[in-house]
Amino acid sequence: MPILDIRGLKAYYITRKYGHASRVRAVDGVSFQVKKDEIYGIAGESGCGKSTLLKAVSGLIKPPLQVLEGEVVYDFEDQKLSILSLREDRQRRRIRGVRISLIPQGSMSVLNPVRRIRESFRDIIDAHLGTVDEARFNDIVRTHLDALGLDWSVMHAFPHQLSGGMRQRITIALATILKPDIVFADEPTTALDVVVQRGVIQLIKKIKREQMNTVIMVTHDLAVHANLCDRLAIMYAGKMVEEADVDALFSNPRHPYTIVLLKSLPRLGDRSVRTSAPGAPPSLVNVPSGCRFHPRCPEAMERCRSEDPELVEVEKGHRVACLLEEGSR
Amino acid sequence: MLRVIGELLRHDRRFLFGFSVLVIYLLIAAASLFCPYNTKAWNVVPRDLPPSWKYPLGTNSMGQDIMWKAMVAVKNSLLLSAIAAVISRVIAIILGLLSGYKGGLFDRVVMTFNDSFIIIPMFPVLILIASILRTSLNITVLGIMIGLFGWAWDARLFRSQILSLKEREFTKTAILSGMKTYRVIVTEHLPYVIPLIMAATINNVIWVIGMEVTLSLLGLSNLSTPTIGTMIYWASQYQAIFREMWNWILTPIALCVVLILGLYMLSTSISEYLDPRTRLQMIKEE
Amino acid sequence: MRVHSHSSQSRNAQSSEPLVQKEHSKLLEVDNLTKVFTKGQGFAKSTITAVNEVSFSLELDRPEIFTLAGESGSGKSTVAKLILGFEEPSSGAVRFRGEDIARTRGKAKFMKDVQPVFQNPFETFNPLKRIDTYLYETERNFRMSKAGEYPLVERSLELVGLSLTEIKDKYPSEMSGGQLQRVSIARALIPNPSLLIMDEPVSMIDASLRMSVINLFKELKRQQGVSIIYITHDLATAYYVSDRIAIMLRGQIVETGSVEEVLDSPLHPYTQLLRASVPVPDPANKWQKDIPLSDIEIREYSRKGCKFAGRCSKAEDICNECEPPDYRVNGRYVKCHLYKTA
Repeated sequence: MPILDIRGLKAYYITRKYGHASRVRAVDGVSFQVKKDEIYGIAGESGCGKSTLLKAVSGLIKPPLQVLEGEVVYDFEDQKLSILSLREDRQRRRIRGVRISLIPQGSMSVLNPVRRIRESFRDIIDAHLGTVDEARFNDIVRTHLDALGLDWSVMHAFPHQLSGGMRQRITIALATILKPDIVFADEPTTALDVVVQRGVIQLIKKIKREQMNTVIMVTHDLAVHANLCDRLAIMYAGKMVEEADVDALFSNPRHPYTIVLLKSLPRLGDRSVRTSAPGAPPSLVNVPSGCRFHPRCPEAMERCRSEDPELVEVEKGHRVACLLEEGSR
Repeated sequence: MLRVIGELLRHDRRFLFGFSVLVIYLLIAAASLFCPYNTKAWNVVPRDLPPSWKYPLGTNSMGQDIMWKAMVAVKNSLLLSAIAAVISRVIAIILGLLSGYKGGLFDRVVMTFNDSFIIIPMFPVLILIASILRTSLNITVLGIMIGLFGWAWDARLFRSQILSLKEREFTKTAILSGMKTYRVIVTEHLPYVIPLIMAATINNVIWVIGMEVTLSLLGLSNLSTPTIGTMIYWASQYQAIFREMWNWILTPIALCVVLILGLYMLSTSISEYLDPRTRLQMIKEE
Repeated sequence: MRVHSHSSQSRNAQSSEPLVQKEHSKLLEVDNLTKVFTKGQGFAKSTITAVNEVSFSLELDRPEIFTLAGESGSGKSTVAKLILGFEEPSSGAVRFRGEDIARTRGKAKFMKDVQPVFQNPFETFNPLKRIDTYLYETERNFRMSKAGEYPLVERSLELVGLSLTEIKDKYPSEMSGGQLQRVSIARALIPNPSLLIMDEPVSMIDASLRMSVINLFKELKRQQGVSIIYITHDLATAYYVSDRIAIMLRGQIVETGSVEEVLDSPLHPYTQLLRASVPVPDPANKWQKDIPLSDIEIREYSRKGCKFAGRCSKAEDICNECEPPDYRVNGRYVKCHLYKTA
């Protein structure tokens, strides 16, 4: 039973200024489902729309971002809700932190610099559980920090006294203290040192084991996805181009973009020549006609210039959006 | 330049408003040169007449035509603000940029000097000076006086902009491309500093007008020269409000309010247009 | 295996040249470079030794790609700034072609020969100026060609795989990170430098464009004879492109050697940890164990003894007492007591 079902989502940034109107087609018709208790990854480069997708799906929709079409339906055991139709903040706020939780990009800077960590925890617990007494508060927080391997001494520190990696782990602790059903993570390991990155990935795995949440993780780093996710989707220029189990995706990529991307990754122990795709990812304001990857695709056909392929299942659990696949089906 | 103004006029209502106000006031100021009366003299025309064809805004208790007096007042106020603004800009730019670029001891000394000007209680000092110079205060002297006090805030503003520009990577790139310091300043930094200067200037003009009105209201100016401030002064001296002579008291007040509003709109719309971030967005969309 | 002191002269014991000859055989020599930053004034002063007696050198007639690898806070970017002359060392020296750069920095002769490439291509250029202006400026200011002619602009753009028509009259915001970084490299190549200092040049470029820029570095070394100091925390690209590598931790170089040796069989426990923490883009090779993390890393700077001992699984008493010198192991240098001889 999918815990999250997204259909035909279109979310654009629409601005008007000095007579110039611009529509950034950040999410342009995306549909997918996330199963309960899985770690679902969304990969893609800068400007592919993955962060916007996360924002739209978790309900953080503020102008100039507008959702034009589509449905986002959550199915918790006892409750089914369509987040886009919720009346504004009041209802969304009630499920934030408790049902769904978002670890935003650059979350190291999310902590209030003039308040101690302890107070940030206070805020979130008070907001959802009412003002609890000191003993119960300490209890809740201590158990959580112990489970995550964080030391109690950080509670009395200010954010600037801690390293970037430490702040990141605390932000993750904050996002999961109320044991949400779904955790969204937006680039949680970017800008972190490689050793700290490993620690953060460990942490996310650990939390998932303890709390049994579903994790939806967005990052451009495919190696992180390989180490963490169960299923992985690749986004390009506002659309999803491939989706599969992580083993299947890495061993048998089918979309030309995925193939090029995987081939270009450098690996330790291997000095053989690698190449990247020619050209650059397109702007989301002027998307190419037809298939968005066709200007850079080594296998582009005439049809690709005019037809935009749909994301269809070519094998069990493996979906691809490419005109080449249609011939072989 | 004209294209920019045209674009702004078409799309930004604030700019339209502000620009029109400015143009109208400049026209008024120009027209005032044709004033048939000596606006400093009293009893030139019959007193306390209501508005009529001959005297469109009526006359006041001192026997002056309100409309012409108001027009001359606009010219004088604008002139005064221009003088004060130019003087304070020049000082602010020179000191701000120099101390931003030089840094070190020079910076510390200049900024201490600057800060003491910020702290000096302007009113008592201006009152003192004004009361000493009362009779020889004409527009120019008043303008210079106010100008000498209006530079401190903005000097600091320009300096901090320069400080941040110095640290940006493209400054290093420019230096490593072999550019000499003055070229770096002119080609790399000025495009950022100029919008700031323009916005600060217009804000400064608003401040000067307010300052002049305040001083005149307190009677500390050359009261025979018509300016917006002195008109309000005389109107209130003659109890124009209680006598319900709205044409007398409201004329300068309305002129003042509309001018400040218009300048403010102009300032915000220009600074938003020239803000590097907006410009970047527009470049991207072309 | 012999114990080596920090003196740079003994490092040259490999070469058979007598020590009395001037160090003209080296393109770049970093000699016991140290940089201490002080924060605060008076009673609240605190110091951080960002670069702590760092030494390495690049040969004159053998262009190579030398990587300075390390995490944030390792001091690698500070070393770059010291070599470029943007900062002054607290002690030690940087010598370029035999001359101390304290004398030559800022002068055209030095700037022509050593050029940097910065991390953020969008910040490298003024967003309000067209980018080709920088190329023309560089050629003109360094007097590379006759006045009014700019043949080198086209040539260096070709070297990086771009054409003048592609970038003419464009603003930085109209181009991708990969393109901009290439323009940045092209600009750096115009004065015909012998040394390029690249600080995280590809970390802000999308993965699908990265390799073409990295392949460029190899081309530049091979065809133009340019030596490159590549500063990064990305071990995978370092492995792919460089010849030698130095691993930095808290201001010190803890291991140096050829990149294959150091990354295939790392000796220093920190290098081993780094290598093990690089995620492999292959789900069949996931991490099995968990690793311990240090919490307040600022303490590591002021540790007595070895900086890594706090996290090291193989630490012994001596590691907390005295700082290890550089031990020489099979042509590599390792700063770890594990390798001291009996």
